[in-house]
Amino acid sequence: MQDNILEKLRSIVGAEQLVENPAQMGAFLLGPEAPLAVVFPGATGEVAAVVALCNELGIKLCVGGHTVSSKGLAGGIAMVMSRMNRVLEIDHENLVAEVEAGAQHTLFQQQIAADGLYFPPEPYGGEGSSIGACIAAGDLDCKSFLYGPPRTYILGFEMVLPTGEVLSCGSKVIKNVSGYDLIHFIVGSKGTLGVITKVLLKLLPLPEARRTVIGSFASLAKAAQVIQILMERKIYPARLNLLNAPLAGQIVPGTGPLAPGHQVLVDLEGFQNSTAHLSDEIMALFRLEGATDALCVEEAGAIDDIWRQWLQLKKAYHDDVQDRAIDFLVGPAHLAAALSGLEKLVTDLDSDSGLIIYALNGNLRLFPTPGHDFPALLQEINRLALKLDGNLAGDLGFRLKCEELRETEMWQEMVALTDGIRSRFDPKGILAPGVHQ
Amino acid sequence: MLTQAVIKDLTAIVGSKNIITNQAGLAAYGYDATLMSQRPVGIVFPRSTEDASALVKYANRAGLVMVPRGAGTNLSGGSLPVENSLVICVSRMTRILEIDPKNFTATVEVGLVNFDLQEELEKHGYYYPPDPASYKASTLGGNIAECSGGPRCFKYGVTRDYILGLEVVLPSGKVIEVGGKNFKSEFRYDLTRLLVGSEGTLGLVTKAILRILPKPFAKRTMLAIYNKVEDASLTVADIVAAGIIPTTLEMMDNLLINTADEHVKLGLPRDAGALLIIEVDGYEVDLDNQVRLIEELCNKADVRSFKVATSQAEADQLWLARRTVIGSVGRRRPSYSLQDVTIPRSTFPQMVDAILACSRRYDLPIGILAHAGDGNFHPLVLFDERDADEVVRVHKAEVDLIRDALALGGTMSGEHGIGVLKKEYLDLEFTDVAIEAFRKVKRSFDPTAMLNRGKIVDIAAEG
Repeated sequence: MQDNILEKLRSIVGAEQLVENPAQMGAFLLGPEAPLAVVFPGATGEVAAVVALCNELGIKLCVGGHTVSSKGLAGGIAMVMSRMNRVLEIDHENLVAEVEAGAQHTLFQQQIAADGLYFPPEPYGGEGSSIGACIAAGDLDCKSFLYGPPRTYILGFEMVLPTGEVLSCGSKVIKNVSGYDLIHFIVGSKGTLGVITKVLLKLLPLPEARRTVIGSFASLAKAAQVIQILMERKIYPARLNLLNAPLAGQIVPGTGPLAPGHQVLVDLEGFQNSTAHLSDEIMALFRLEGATDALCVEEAGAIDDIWRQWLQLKKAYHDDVQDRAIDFLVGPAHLAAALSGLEKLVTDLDSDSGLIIYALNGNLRLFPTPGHDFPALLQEINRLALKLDGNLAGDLGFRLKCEELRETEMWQEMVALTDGIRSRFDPKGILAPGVHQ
Repeated sequence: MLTQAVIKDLTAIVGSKNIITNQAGLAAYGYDATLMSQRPVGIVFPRSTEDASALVKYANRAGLVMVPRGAGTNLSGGSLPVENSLVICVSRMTRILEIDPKNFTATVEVGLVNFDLQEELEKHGYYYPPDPASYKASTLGGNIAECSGGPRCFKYGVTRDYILGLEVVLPSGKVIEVGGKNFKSEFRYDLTRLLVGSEGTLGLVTKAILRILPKPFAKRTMLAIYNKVEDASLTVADIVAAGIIPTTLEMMDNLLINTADEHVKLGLPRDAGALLIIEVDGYEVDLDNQVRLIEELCNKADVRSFKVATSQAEADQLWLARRTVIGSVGRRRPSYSLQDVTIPRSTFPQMVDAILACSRRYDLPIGILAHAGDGNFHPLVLFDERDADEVVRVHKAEVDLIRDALALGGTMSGEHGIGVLKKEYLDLEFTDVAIEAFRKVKRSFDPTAMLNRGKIVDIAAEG
């Protein structure tokens, strides 16, 4: 039976585009469970044929850009989209690009930047990750306040449904209300509703000017206060991030490291005049508010270098997310209160436990050291977030909120509704077995 | 017709002041902004989520199909009653529950009129970007149901970009909350996005958490007048290519310049081919450069005259033609059919040609109004509803315009929705696979099609 399946897969993607040796498969898998094979389709037709085969035989299938989660995939098929990495079209007049789902996010951004175009979302899993991953995850990033979350940038897609048919939606228009909004609904569906093969992306003109300002502060409270002043002055940069001292040292500008402390990182993008004014204003504010060190970076290469380090730092912690990160949100104006509450729960924020903050979104990502009582901490942070107009992120946040507020009926209703949608799209339950478990 | 027993039960839920069953009332709620009408069997006005939930549960038991409704300004028949339907009108749920400018959110009941929210936000120096032309009358619930756009959305996006969370009465009567006060509150799937633009077919939205923004520091309003539509479209392309995304790029053609000028006496040149209203916003220190650049680009495209407002009063004057234009066409013909086709910006001149050809083909005057930045055309097909032959030609023109837009790689609806008006053309834009995917969505929420039956897609009963 297994040999028969492998033979059919080889006939679809070609013998050289299938890996079945466990030692070789490991490079493409996240997690201990072993699928039957990893396949590397080269075209939508091949994806559709593999999916149809899995659906016919009831074989689990999970998809990734370069690596695939093997959770629940024992005996199933892992599909890696790295061969489908072409940028099919860059349309300057309409500010649109069409790319295959396996296209590398950062490479794509570099390619269009050379043409004066801009795709704001950050890569989902660091520099090597794919556009498909960014869309499938649909996660907020630190640029979402100014530019909108990743879904803002999808205008259409091609997707192989779990039953093997090809679904296409959308066009090169930014206003489209024709039919149900599947275009944006699939963003964040984590590979459960189909295999995204192509996406049509909305682009922006590349900002005319850019500057990065970094300040080091002796306490988190001081850093939060400075952020609050910026927001009260209605200064909303492309990024306004805070790294606590244990992580701050990982960002080293070309001119050398800043004095140790909690770091506020400001990424300004916009027109020449206002960007220059704002960077001067922020530098002055940092100094007057007692920054132990502050730096304004104006040279494009040096700015890129800082944000490349930021993405590496994000990826390093992103890889740990499942296990020991606590991702939560508060109203952005409550950042100071959130930090003071958090410092009571996690006492080593100055020295050990990591903290990344997207200040404009009020999004905090905590990486507590292993000594902490993780389940208890989760409950406490949930309560803290709920008090401050926020919540723990995503599915976990919704479950804990329902538990805290005793919303049993709503919880059951949401599970039934979302299960219903998934099973209508994927009647045999073959796709992404590890998601929503 | 509702039986006395049903009327009594409904009255017990909402109170006698919140139910209409007399013929005059049924007629008043039997139409929207399309030319169609259909009387419902009753209209009920929930005053709370609890009322709405009780009404939906009761209607299910009584086998009554429900049609959600806000202000009824809908342009595709989405809020039109269907046969033997009970209209659930949210227009009396108008409370602003919270305005939280520091956290960029406002929480409202969905019967609130868009304009009334804007007025409250103005006091805080904030605003809610989606601004459909109907914003003085239309409810936020209606805006959510249709995913309304407006002139500002070229830069700021449409309703879907400003809805963080919703409270929804499901077709079963059970209440859920989707999303929250931030971008990361969805459980499993982004149901908020699915509900926005679902035209009241998936759930009855009762409350919404909206994203609000501080008003821009500064803006500039410009009016450019051209001899030819093609010149105006060249300007649109050049501005975007120069790296400027204006908040607004509104275009009107010769026919509409004439009707608007007849109506409000603006001294516009009657022989002009097109006008563009251009607005940019941002930091004060950046805007003079942008205006200079835009003026250069307009000159390059042989602009006939270019004006920049130097005060709000002057900006209001420049906007006057655009704000009054739709009503002004009544001077030419008693009825109009407003289309909503949207095309990739680069095909703007081809769409203009297609509209002019359509006008000649069916011997109907068609005025061209467009949100030019995002390729969203609102051709106004002018006619007389009493002339049966003309009505037939209008319908033919509608289909032709849809086919033209689709041939140019666009969509039949940029911001008005499918409703019942465009439902029959859905297969021109979507494959069977896509339409079946829509049905899967509908069945997941409403397997017996009790809510807004017959809108967007039909489903066969399950099981």
